[in-house]
Amino acid sequence: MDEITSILYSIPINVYILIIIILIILITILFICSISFDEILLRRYNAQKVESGEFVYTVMSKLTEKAITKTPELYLFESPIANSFSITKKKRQAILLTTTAVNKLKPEELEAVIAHELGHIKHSNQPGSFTSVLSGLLFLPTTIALWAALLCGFGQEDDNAPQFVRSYVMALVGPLTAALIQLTTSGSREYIADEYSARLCGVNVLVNTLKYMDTGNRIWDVNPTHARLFFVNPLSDNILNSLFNTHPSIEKRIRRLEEIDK
Amino acid sequence: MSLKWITALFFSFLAYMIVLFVIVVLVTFYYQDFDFSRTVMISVPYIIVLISYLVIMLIIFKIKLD
Repeated sequence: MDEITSILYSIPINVYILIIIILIILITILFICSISFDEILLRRYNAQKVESGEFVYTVMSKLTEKAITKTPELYLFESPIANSFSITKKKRQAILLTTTAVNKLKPEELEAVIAHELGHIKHSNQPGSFTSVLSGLLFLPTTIALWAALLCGFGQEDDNAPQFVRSYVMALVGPLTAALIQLTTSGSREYIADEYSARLCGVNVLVNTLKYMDTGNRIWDVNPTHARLFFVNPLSDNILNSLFNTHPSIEKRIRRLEEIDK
Repeated sequence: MSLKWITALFFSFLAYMIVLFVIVVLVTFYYQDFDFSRTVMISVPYIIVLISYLVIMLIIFKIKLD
C-alpha cells in the first residue's frame, strides 16, 4: 500500500492537471452531444434538407396524412446503399434517406421505408439517437488510432497495418460501447416499426422491400455505433461488428410480417 | 451461443492482456528491476477486474444477441 502511495506522490502535478482538463473536455462534449445530437448526426452524414413539393416529400406527406401524424423533416444523404434512419427529439423529428434509396426503390417501396421510419418516430425512441452519438464518442479512440497509424506512416487507409491498429483499439473499446447500445436498444423496436409500416403500406410491399435490401448491396462502412439507427443493418459480418448488431435478421422480420398477414 | 460475439470478447480479452504486458514492462523499466511480487500485485487485481468486466459483457451479449 505504501508503495502505491509513493508511486502516486512521485507522479508530477502536471499529469493530474492534464487528467482534470481531459475530464472537463469530455463532460463538455457530453453536454453538447445531449443538446445537439440531431445536428451532429445531420452534419456527420452531410444531409441535405428536402423542401416540400419534391417527389419524396410528397410521398411522405401522403403517408403522414394517412397516419394522421405530424410531418417530420426530410433529408437526403449520399450513400452507395439503399437505407434510411430517423432522428427523434422533442423539438425535431427527421427522416434521412440515402440518395440510392430514392433512386433505386420503387415508389411503393420508398413509401414502406418512410412508413417504417415514421413508426420509429411515433413509438418515440429519443434516447436511442442520443445513445448513438454518446457511444460514437466512446468509440472515438478507434478513429484516432487509425489516423495516428496513418500519420505515423503505417500505410494507406486500406492497408493491413493501420487496420490492425484500428481493430486493436476497437477490441478495447468495442465491447463497452456495444453493451451501452445493446442495453438501450429494445429488441422489438424494428418489429414494431415494421408492423406500423405494414399497416400503412401493406405487408407484401414491405416484405419485397426487405428482400430487395437483403439481396442488393447492403454493406456500408458506417460507424458501427450508428448501425442501430438504420432500416437494415449496414455493417459487414466481421467478428467485432457482430457485437453491434441490434437488428433481427431479415428472415425473422419477414417471417414475423407474414405471421401478421395470416 | 453465437461463436462470433464470443470470439470478439476473446479478442478483447487478448487486447487487454497486451495492455497488462505493457504496464508490467513500464513498471519494470521504472524500477530497473523485475520484481515478481510487484508484478503479481499489479496483475492479479487487473485480471480480476478484467474477468468481472468480461463476465458482465458476456451476460449482456448473451441476453441481447442469442
